[in-house]
Amino acid sequence: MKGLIGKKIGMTQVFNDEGNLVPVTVVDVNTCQVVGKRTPEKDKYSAVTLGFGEVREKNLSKAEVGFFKKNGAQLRRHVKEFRVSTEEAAGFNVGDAVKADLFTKGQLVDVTGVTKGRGFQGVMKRWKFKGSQTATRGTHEYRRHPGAIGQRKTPGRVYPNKKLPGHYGVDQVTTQNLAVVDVDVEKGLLLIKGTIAGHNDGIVIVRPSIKVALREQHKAARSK
Amino acid sequence: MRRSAIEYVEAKNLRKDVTQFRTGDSVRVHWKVKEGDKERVQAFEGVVIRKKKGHNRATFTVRKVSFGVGVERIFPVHSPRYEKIEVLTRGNVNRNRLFYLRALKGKASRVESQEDAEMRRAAASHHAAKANAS
Repeated sequence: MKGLIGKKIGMTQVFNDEGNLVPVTVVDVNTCQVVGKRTPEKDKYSAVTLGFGEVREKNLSKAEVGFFKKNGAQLRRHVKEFRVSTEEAAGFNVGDAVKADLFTKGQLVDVTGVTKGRGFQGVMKRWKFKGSQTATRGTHEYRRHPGAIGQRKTPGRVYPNKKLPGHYGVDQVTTQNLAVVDVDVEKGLLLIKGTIAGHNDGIVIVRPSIKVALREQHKAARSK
Repeated sequence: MRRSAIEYVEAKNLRKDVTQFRTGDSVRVHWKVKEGDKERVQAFEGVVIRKKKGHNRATFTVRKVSFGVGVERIFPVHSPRYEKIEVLTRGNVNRNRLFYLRALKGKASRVESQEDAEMRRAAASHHAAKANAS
């Protein structure tokens, strides 16, 4: 299996095996369940669909309810597909609960979340511009302005992707190579070292680290 | 849900054998030191000059003067890395945080123990009673 859907509970600090205090984000992965499968015969690719978060029938659309009923799975609020190999997919049946023990202590994971919304922001917050270096010497433009944004008649336009004020936040962000500090299968909790994008109660996706997987692939290829 | 899960995680990290002591007390902290794959216990002895609250993040600061140099160490109260904390004397102090000790040297930098303070008070009242009688 290639990952879990979870809910960011919040942050705290715990002592690791060496006895050092480390900052961790607590992720709740209870109610993760296989709600559907993709097969090469039918869909031309192989994947497992996971559902997360209990929900009442009246809060889902009829199409969504129909999907869960047809597959014979319980209703779930959030649904996400994980691409896996056919052999791996064979180990999962619709209705199976997927537990936190998918991950082991010390493993590196990538965590995807949606950052907090900050609204329309200026360049200093949005792009970490420095702003005016002299706050007291009567700078002719305002202290937090971006400054020049282009050249003259050539090219006579502002280049695309120029860093300017605008909407900031609510972006999907993946943080790579975060260590799993502890796994609590019984309570369905993952303790992940460091910070994760998004506010508390936000939905996050935890996957095994892609860089670790690639490194192992390279190693295997070289030793051949 | 949110609070309870966090509290559960934090509660797992708390030490159950936390020694009770106050600022001003002299303590000996038996700190486990790892050297290679060997582990030994190193004691750090001094006066507690600060206790910080904060559930699983609570810390305390121990100050001692070593070869004329003031040394302070901050220990997490719930750290699994100390073996035990011995309370040597109970201090008689009027502050919660004893940062004024940093500016003091020699005899002035001592913290009076509670027994000494009691004896001093008893002696003082004895003298006062005598003076009144005469």
